[in-house]
Amino acid sequence: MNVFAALFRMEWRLFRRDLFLWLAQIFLLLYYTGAGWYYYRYPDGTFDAGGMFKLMSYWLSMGVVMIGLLAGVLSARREHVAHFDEIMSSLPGDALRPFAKLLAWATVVLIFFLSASVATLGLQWLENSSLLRYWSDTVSYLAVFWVLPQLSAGILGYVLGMLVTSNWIYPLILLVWLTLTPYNGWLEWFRLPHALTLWLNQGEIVYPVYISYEGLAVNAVDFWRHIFLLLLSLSLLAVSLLIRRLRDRTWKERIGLITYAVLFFVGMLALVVKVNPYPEGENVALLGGVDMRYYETMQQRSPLGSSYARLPSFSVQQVVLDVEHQGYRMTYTAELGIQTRGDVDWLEFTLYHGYTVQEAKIGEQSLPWEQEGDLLRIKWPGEKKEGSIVLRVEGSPGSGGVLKPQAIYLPSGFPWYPVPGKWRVAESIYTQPAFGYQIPSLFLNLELEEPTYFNISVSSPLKIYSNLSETGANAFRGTASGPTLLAGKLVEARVNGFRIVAPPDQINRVPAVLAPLQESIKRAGGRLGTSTYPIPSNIFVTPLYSAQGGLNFPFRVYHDELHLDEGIFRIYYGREGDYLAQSRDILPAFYWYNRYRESDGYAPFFLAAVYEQIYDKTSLSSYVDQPMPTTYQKAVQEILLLEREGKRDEAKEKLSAWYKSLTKAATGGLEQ
Amino acid sequence: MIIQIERVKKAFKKKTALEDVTLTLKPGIFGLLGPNGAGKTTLMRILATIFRPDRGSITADGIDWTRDAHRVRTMLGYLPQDFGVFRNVTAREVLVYIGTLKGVARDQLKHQVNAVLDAVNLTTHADKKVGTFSGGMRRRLGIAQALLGDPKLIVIDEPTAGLDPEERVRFRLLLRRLAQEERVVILSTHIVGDVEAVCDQLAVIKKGKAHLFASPEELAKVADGQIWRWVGDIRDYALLEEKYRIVSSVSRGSTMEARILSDTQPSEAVEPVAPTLEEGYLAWVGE
Amino acid sequence: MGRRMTFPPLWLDLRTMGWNFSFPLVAHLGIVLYLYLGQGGRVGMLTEKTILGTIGLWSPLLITFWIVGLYQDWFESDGKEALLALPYKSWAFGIGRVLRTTALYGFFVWGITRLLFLFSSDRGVSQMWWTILAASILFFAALAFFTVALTRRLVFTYMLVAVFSLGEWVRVYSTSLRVGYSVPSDRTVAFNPFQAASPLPGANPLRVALILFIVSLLLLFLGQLFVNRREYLLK
Repeated sequence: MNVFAALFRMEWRLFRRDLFLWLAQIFLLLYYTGAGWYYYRYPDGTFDAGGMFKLMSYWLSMGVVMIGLLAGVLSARREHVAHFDEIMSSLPGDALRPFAKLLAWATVVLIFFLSASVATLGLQWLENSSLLRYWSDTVSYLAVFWVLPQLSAGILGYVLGMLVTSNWIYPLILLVWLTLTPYNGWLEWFRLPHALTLWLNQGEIVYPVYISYEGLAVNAVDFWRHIFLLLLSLSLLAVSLLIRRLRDRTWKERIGLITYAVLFFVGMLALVVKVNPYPEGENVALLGGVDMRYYETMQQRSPLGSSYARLPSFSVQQVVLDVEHQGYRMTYTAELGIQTRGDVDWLEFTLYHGYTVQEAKIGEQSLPWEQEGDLLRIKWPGEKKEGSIVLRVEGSPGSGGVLKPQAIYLPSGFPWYPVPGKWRVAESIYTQPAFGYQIPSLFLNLELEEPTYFNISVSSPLKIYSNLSETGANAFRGTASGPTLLAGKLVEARVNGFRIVAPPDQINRVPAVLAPLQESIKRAGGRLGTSTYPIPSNIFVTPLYSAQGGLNFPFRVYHDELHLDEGIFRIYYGREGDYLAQSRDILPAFYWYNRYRESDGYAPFFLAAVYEQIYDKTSLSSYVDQPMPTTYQKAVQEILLLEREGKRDEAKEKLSAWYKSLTKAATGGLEQ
Repeated sequence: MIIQIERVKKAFKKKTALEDVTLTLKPGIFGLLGPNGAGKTTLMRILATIFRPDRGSITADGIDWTRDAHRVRTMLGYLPQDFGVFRNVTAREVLVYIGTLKGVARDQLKHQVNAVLDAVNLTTHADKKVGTFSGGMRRRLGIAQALLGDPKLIVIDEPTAGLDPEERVRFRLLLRRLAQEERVVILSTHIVGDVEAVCDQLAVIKKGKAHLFASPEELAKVADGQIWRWVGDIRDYALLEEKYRIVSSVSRGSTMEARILSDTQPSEAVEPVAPTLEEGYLAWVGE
Repeated sequence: MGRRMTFPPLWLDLRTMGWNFSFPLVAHLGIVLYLYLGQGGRVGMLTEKTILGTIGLWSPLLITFWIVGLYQDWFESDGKEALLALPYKSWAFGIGRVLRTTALYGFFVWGITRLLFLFSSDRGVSQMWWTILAASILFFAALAFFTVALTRRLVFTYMLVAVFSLGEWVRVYSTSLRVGYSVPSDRTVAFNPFQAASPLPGANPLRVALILFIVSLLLLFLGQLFVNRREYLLK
C-alpha cells in the first residue's frame, strides 16, 4: 500500500507540475465561460444558460477528449523521456505503476470536473439563471459528458503512448479523437456498423439543441454509452499490459491480468448487447420519417377526400385511464363507459398504431378485437345497450408525442387513448411546399366532438401536468374534449386568468406574447368573416417541434388548450410575440387545424399566403402566372390578379368567400 | 551473499547478446569490463531484473532472479548507464519516492535520504528541481538513489562518466566503504582506472561470454611478456605505428616513448616491461 | 573556415519531419475522397460551400503537423545539443523555415482546392477567399511555431493548438448561429482563424484577413525570440 501511495503521489505530483496541461484546461474553461457568456446573453440582458451549456458542451466534450488523449501519451512516455524508465523497472512496484497513473489521472479529471462545475454553476448564478435550480442535472451531465470521456481518453492515450513509441502517434491521436466525437461517421465508410459509431461517440448523438422542456436530463443510455468507452479503454489497458509484461509476471499476476481484461471485455460486450445506444424514443428524425412513410402508404390506399372517416355508432360516457410510464413506453388500462345507439356489431375506435391492445374485456367476459393500422375494432356483445369495456394497452406515441424517461408530451388531439370513431390520424404531405412555406402538421386534430368525463392516474417518477384538474399526486379528473399529459422540467403559474405550464426559464415570457396573439387572431377572424376565438385558458409550452415529426407550427390549438412550441422561446428570444402573431402561423393554427379536417393540407398554406399578400404586403404576384400544384390554383390566381389590378376590396371579399367555401367542403363530409 | 550466475543466455531478435555466462560474485566490488556491444549492459539489466534470461539462472541465498524478481528488487540498488529523472521534481522528492518503493520504513526514510544526499555531496541542492542540475549532479543523484534502502546488491553501469576528478575520487571512496559491509557491488565500466582503484575481482565479457579474474593483477598478467617499451626519435615513431600495435605513447621533446603490445619482440630497440591492467585487458580482448 | 549556413536544404527539412510530413498529405487525400465520394463530387454536384467549408477548416489546422515536424528534432531528441551547436542563422532557421514550409503547403492546398472544383459545377473562388485562406494557413503556422518554441514539447503543442482551435471554432460557430436575430454586430470580434470555412457575419472579410496577418506576424516574432535563445531551447 505504501508503494502504491508513493507511486500515486509521484504521478500526481508530475501531473500537477505540468503547467501546460493545466493551461490547456484553463483555456478550455475560459473559452467555455467567456464565449458562452458573451454570445448567449440576449439583447434584453437575459442569459440562455441551457442553450449555452448544451451547445458549448457539444464542442467542449471534444476538447476534454483531446486533452485526455494527449495527457495519456504524456503520462505513458514520461519515464522514457526522462531516461528514468530503466530505474523504474528495476524497482519494486513496477507492475503497480499503470494503476497509480490511472488514479493520478482520475484526480486530474476530478479537479477539472470540479472546476467545470463551479464555472458552469457560477455563471448561472451570476446571470441569475433559472437553470440553477436544476444544478444536480447540470453536474450529472458534466460527469457523464465531460468527466467519463476525459477519464477514458486519458487511459486510451496511455495505452497508445505505450504501444506506439514513434511520433506518428500524434496523427493517430487525431484519428482516435475523431472516432470518439460526433464526427465519427467516416467509420461507416469502412462498412463498420452504425451502432459502433454511436457507441464510440462520446459527444451528443444528435445535434444538441437544448430542449428546455426536458432540461438537461442525462438518461441511462448516455451513461452506458460513456461507460462503454471506459470499459473499452480499461480492457485495452489490460491487453496492452499483457502484451508487454506477460513474460515477466508470476502466474498469479498473469491470471489476474487475464481475468481483468476478459472481465472488462465481457462487460463491454454485455452492454453492447443489452443497451441500444440510441433508443428510438430519442430519435425524432427516425420517428418522424417512419410515420411519414406510414401515412403516405395509408393515403395511397385511401386518398385524401375519399371519406375515410366515420362517426361512431356509440357514445363514450366516461374514460378512466390508469397509466404506467416505463421509460420510452407506457402501458395503461382504459375503462370506457359505452352507450350504443341502435344495433351495433363492432365498436370502432381510432388508436395510434404504436399502441397495441393486449386484452379487451367487458366485466369478466373477454371481447374479440381487431387492430388494423390506427383502427381498433372491438366486438360488442349485441344484447347489451351499455357497459364498461376494459382495455389493456401497451405502446408509445411514435412521432405524435414525446415519451421518454425524462419527459412526456401526449396531446389531447392525438389518439394515444382509444378515440371513438374512425378517423384519419395524420396526412402526409411532402411535395414542394407552396410559396416556400412550411410543410403542414402531420397529425390531425382528433379532439372529441363532445366533451367527455376523464379520470386519469399516472404512475411515473415525473411530476405530471394535465388540462384536467388535479385531484391527487399525478391523478386528474374532469370533463374535456381530450386529455393532455405533460411532464418534464416544468413549472406552473396563473397569470391574468390563464394557467401556464412551462419550463422555468420561459414561464415569465409567456404572458408577454398573449396580447399580440389575441389581437392577431381577432383581426384574422374579422377579415375572413368568421367567428373569432379567445385564447384558451390552459397554455402549455411543449416540445411541439420535436414531438410531431418536426413538421409543425409554433402552436396548436385545442378546445381549452393552447400548446406553444418551446423552441420559439429560444430562437426568437425577445421577439417571440411578433413571430407568433404572423398570419402564416395564426391562420392555419386557429382557422384550420382547430378542429378535425380531412383535407388537402395545402389549403391552409395557400390561404395564409394569399392573406399575407393582401393584408401584410408580401409579394406573391409572380406566382399569378405560374402553374401551381393543386386544385386551388384557379381561386388563388383570381384573388392575386384582383390584387394586382388594384381591386383590393374585391380581392378581400373573394378571399373571405374562398375561405368559407373551402372550410365547408374540406371536412370529410362530416359537417352536416 | 554470494551470487551465482549459471549459463545465462540472452538473445534479442537478431543478435545474441549473452552466449553463455557463468560467474560467481562474492561480497566486495566486482568489475565488469568489455568492449562496446559485448553484452555488459545486457548482463547488468538481467542482474537488475529488467530483462529475464532466456536460459540459465541467477541465484543468491536461495533467491531466484526469475521467480522472485520482486524480492531481488527490494535488495537491489541500480544505476543504469542512461539515467535521468523527471525534471519537475526535487532531488529529495525523487529519493523519498524511490526509497518508499524500495520499502524503506517511513521513520528511517528521512534519515536515509539525508545520508545518501550527504554521501554524494548533494545536500545543498536537495530541494532544487532536477531540471536545473548539471550532468555530474544528475549522475550523483543516480548514485544516491542506488544506495537507498541499504541494498545487498548494487549494480552500477558506467558510474563515473561525467564526474569531475574530485567527485570521481569521492565516489571510489564511497564504493570502498560500501563494500566493507558484506555487499556485492557490480561495476560495469570502460574506465580501467576505476576497476584498478576499487575492484576486488573482475570479469571481462567478450562476444557474449565472460571470463572471471580473481584480481586485477590476474588480468594484467594476461599480457605478461607481450608488452615492450620503446624509446626513440619522433620521426621513427610513425614507422613503428604502422607496423605494431601501440598501447600508449608519450612525447618527450624530440624523443618518443611508446608501449607496444606484441607476442614477439618487435625489435632490438625495445625492452620487456611489466604490463598494466589496461594492457592485460587489451591483450585479452584483442585475442 | 566553416561556411555559415543560411538555410538547410528543403528536402532535408521535409525528410526530418517524418510522419508529420505525410500526415497532412494523407489527410488531404482523405478530404478529397470524402468530398468526391460522400459529398457529391462523383456526380459533379459538389457545392462550393462544402469545398470551402471543408478546406477552410482542415487545411489551416493541418499545417500544424508540418511546422511541429520542422522543429521536433530541435526540441525532442537526444541530439538536440548537437543541432543547437550548428552554425545556423537563427532567423533563417526560425521564421525563414516556417515561411518556406508555409509557402510550399499553401501551394499544395491551392492545388487541392483547384482539383476539388473540377468535381463541382460551381466555379469561382474569389480572390478574397484565397487571401483569407492564405492568412489562416499563415496564422496556424505561426501559432504552431510559437507554441512549439514556447513549450518545447510536441504533446503540449498539439494540446494547446487543439484546445485553441476548438475554442475558436465554438466561438465563431456560436456567433454565426446567433447572428440574425440575437447578436448585434458589436458583439462580433473580427478575429477569426476559420474565416475561410465559417465567415463571421457582420465582419469585413478584408479586416479579418488583415487581423489574422498581423497576429501571425506577432506570433512569428515572439516564437523567433524563443528560438534565438539557445539556452532556453536546451532546457
